[in-house]
Amino acid sequence: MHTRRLLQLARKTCGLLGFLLISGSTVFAADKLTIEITGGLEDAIPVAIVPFAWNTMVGQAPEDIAAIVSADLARSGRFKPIKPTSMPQQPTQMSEFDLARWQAKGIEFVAIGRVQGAAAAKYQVEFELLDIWQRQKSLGPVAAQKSEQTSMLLEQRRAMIDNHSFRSYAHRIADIIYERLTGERGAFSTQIAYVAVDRSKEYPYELYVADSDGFNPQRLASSRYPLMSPVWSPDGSKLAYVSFEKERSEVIVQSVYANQRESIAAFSGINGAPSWSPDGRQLALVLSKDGNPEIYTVDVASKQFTRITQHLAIDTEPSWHPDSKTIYFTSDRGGKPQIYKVDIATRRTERVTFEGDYNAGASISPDGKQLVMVQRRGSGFNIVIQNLQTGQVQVLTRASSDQSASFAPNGRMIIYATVSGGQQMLAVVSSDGRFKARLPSTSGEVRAPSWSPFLP
Amino acid sequence: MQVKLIVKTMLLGLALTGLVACTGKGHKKGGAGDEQAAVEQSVSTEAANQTKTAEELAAEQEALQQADRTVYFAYDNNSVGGEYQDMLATHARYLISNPGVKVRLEGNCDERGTPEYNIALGERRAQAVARVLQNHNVPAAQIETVSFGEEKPAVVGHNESAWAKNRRVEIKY
Repeated sequence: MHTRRLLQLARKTCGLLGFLLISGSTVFAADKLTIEITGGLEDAIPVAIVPFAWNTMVGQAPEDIAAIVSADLARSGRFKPIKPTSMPQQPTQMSEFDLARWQAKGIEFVAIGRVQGAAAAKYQVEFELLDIWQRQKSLGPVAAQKSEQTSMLLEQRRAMIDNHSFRSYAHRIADIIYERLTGERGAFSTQIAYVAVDRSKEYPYELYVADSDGFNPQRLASSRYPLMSPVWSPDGSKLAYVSFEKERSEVIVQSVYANQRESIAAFSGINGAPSWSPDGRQLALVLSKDGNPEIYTVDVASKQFTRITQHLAIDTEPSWHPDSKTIYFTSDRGGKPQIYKVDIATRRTERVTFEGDYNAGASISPDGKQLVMVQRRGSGFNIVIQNLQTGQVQVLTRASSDQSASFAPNGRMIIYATVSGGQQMLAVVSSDGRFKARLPSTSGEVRAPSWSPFLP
Repeated sequence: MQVKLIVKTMLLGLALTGLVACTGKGHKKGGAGDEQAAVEQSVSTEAANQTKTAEELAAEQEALQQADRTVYFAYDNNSVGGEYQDMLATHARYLISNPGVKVRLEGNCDERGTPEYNIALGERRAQAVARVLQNHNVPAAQIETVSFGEEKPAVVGHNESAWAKNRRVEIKY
């Protein structure tokens, strides 16, 4: 908790100092990404996150914790939180809780909580997660009120936070609830990086990081010429990306929280498509300095380059497998782009995709068992997911120009870029394809999303 | 075509008056023998700027101003259509006459497909145009290629009409 707050403060401070190294400007854009759920809540679990009590003498809550938790859980596609106006009651502590009224509504889990002013600018937040049907614990005979409450209680937490930490602690609560109810790690305390393009600006291309719900966008770079392909380092401290700020491509590594930025590759021809190794020490990338696009790896510290592919065809879009031994990439050596994999040690190369005449932009899941990619189909270019063991492919999206798919660190959600209603925007889809949401920006085009790893 | 003829005639005239040092054997008057053409070519490269008149240079500039600066491509394709040969020949002549000038060929794609694969496709398109210029004897050192993939559309739109205008190589000086 302490570390995260320090990082947040550092980020805000660095932002104010302005690490917009290209434009020299220090103005932050305030554009937010909004969420529009577009499909698949039929199997979602009905839950209620009751508005927390605000038990302080002074002022208003800086953020509505319950609303943030609800939005997070909804966005996962696994839960269907009900609105406060639909709640049978709005208790803020156990003694107020009337079980029968919630059971009558068909709600399965309820969270209640309280915020209390503590010392100067500090707040104590407490919450409980209740299992209405007590399915998580063995059902005993209904005894006294107290033991009933105890058997309903799944989580009970208390934390001390400050003024600036309301959103981040709300995301933490969502993670706790998600993990308790699904058995999987929640990804709500993560971030996304993306490129925003506003062609009316002097520096139209901007690189942002934001919370995974789109809040708190922080601009890291802006440029007259394109910015592309941001990817998070495995420790969440850096982004590698492609910049055309010098009117030709180069691969840049920039710290997210410190004022550091360096050029890693600026050869003639293409310098592109960076992908971090699992240990964060190397980047795989694409260089065409030798005549055609080939995959290379580079040690970020020593800048030593190693060539991985050797073929006249286009080889691009490397994606490192978590086993550290294999790189997946796109090649049109067979005539059309397909996904291949190369064993780094032996250079043995194998084709991976066999369906359709265009498969590109592969991204490996955190557990290494699946890959998500762009496939050309009758409907256009869609995001599909392939099981690496069985080879089975499932179509996840059906719009016409989808691209740039990136996994959440728990492997459950995929963020990607799409065109909807004539506007270029981000969208998320669950890895089983059942849940979809759009994230339209308040202005301009948004593209090239990258989901952060779990953050310390 | 006209300019070339004038240049050729002038060079012949100069050769006959012995004002230009020849590296090859003696030339024949008129005709189009290989040896003669080779000598003319080498003389042309060395003496072009000195032998061009102001009118000729102006004519080349004019031709360049009038010439288009964009080559368009069919979907999934990087071959340069025959309709661009004359236009590219004009650019080639200008570049040959001005060895200090560099041309920048910017390759682009429409938005469909993946951004980084489109960078590679854009490079193929720029290289295809570069080859045409080189076939017209423009030295490689005067040609720079860059690919912007789908990142710098000429027309922002999500339909065939916009896509067709974005599949292009732009010629920039």
